[in-house]
Amino acid sequence: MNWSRSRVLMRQNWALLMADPAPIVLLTLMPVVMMTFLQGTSRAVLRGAGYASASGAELVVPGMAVMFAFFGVGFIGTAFFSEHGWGTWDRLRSSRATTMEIVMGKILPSAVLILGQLVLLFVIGVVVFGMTINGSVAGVGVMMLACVAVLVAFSMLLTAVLKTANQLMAVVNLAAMALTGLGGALAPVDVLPGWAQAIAPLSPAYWMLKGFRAVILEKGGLDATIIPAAATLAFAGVLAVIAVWQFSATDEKVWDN
Amino acid sequence: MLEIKALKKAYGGHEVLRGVDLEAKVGEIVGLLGPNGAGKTTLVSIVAGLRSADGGTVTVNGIDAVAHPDKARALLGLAPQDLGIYPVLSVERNLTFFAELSGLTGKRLRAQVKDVAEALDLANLLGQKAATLSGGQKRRLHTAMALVNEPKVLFLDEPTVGADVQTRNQILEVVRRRAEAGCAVVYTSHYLTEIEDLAATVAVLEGGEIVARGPLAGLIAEHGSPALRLTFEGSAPVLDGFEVSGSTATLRTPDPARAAAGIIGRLNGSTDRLRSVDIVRPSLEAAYLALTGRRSNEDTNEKTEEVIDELVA
Repeated sequence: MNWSRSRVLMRQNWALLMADPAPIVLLTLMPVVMMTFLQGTSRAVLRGAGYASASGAELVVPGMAVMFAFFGVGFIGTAFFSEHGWGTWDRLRSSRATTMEIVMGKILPSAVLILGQLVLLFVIGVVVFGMTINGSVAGVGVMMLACVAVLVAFSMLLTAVLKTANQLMAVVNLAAMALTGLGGALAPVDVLPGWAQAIAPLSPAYWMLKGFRAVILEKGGLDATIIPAAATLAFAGVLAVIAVWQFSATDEKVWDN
Repeated sequence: MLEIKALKKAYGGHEVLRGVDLEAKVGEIVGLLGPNGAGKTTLVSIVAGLRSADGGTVTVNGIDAVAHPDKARALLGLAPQDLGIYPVLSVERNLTFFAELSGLTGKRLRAQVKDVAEALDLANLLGQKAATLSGGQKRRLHTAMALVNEPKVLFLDEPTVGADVQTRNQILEVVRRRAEAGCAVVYTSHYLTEIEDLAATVAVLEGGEIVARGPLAGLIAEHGSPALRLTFEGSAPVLDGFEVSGSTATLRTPDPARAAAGIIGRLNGSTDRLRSVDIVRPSLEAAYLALTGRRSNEDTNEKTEEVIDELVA
């Protein structure tokens, strides 16, 4: 990897992301709107579960942040698909940049964006919705990084196996709702149907939210995130291996947006 | 500068390149001609490192492009057949990005962007978003992006498709100047007049092989004999002395006008299906016709229709 070229590629991809910030703004405002509507229900659920002083934000903020971070998977995928649509993918590949540099140049700016989205939503959660982090703040950071890792790997897998941008967005939307819903983003796993509770651990969102819950609600220290973070990173590792196996720079992609 | 030997490529058992040999020396413009599907774009893609070859060697300035594609790519400039620009970024950002990727920095980078922009009449458009450019301006930007890294070998794959006359002339002028400065240029086109305007060395690729290679004048002298060409609706009839290919029948003769005068009466029942009578003078067009068995504009017409469709849309 040539760091000078990688920096150029990252700056370029950041400029491309910022050229149309509407999707980023949307994916940051939407969860805030959802938090507003769902906080009361979350408060009732948490108080019913014995957390007498809970504001509800402790459940709804991580839930919505994780759900909309999943929607952010589309940022990374579209960063690849749009290059095909603009006819610049082959230009990039015929430049001095290696495939690894091009891929890293695409992934990292989007990963920073997803991380920024998570951080901002948690800050809004604390400042606006009164969320209290009762345990380790560093633990929240660890879970955020694990979360970004699995989303990056997931987006690379989708980019590798899907052929069109429309397919990408359809799968991202479905996966974001299904995996985070199953993981407890909309309601705690305990109140989901029995079959859903049984398969919930198969969703990486389950482990993400379990980690956030441990440090935000259950006063856990950094050590409380070890198992959830490890499980989340295991998902990231498996998805990344499959993505690398399936990815081919010569594959044709269709930007049909 | 560029040396291609015995290059082979097949897609699913279909051989696209069947042992292509091609050379472009310092300062030489090679006009790579051939009908659609002849393998031109595949050839360019392999040399540019976009596809792997099944066999053969590619050497760029002494560097084995198969073994060291990264080093070879540093010497190449490529303008692919399809337009490739970032529409959401400015003209300057499009150019600067590829200059930076090639390792240019500081004053040299700024000077190179300025030079290329001026050469292709983009200097006044640097701050404009690429999406807002006209078709011709986009085509010039597309070409400029291939030049901005100061390549030693330049590949232009049908760079003037859909371009207006002014854009076409500017691109041709830039190609000439690059070659004069020592760049080896491989220029693919269906517009044979451009190859003639550039006084390029010609290589004709047909069926995955180079079927003719040499200076323009030599190729015309050897293959560009005058001919009479008749085009019919449906298949051309069998006529004495004529080569029949699809809907066309071609007679190579030193005096095609005299032959035309005598042929009409011999057509018998095919007269009603006769659509055009063309006299082909010694030219690259005639040489191309002799070598490939088809007119260059059989392909060009498809392109022209695409362009008209785009304009109407």
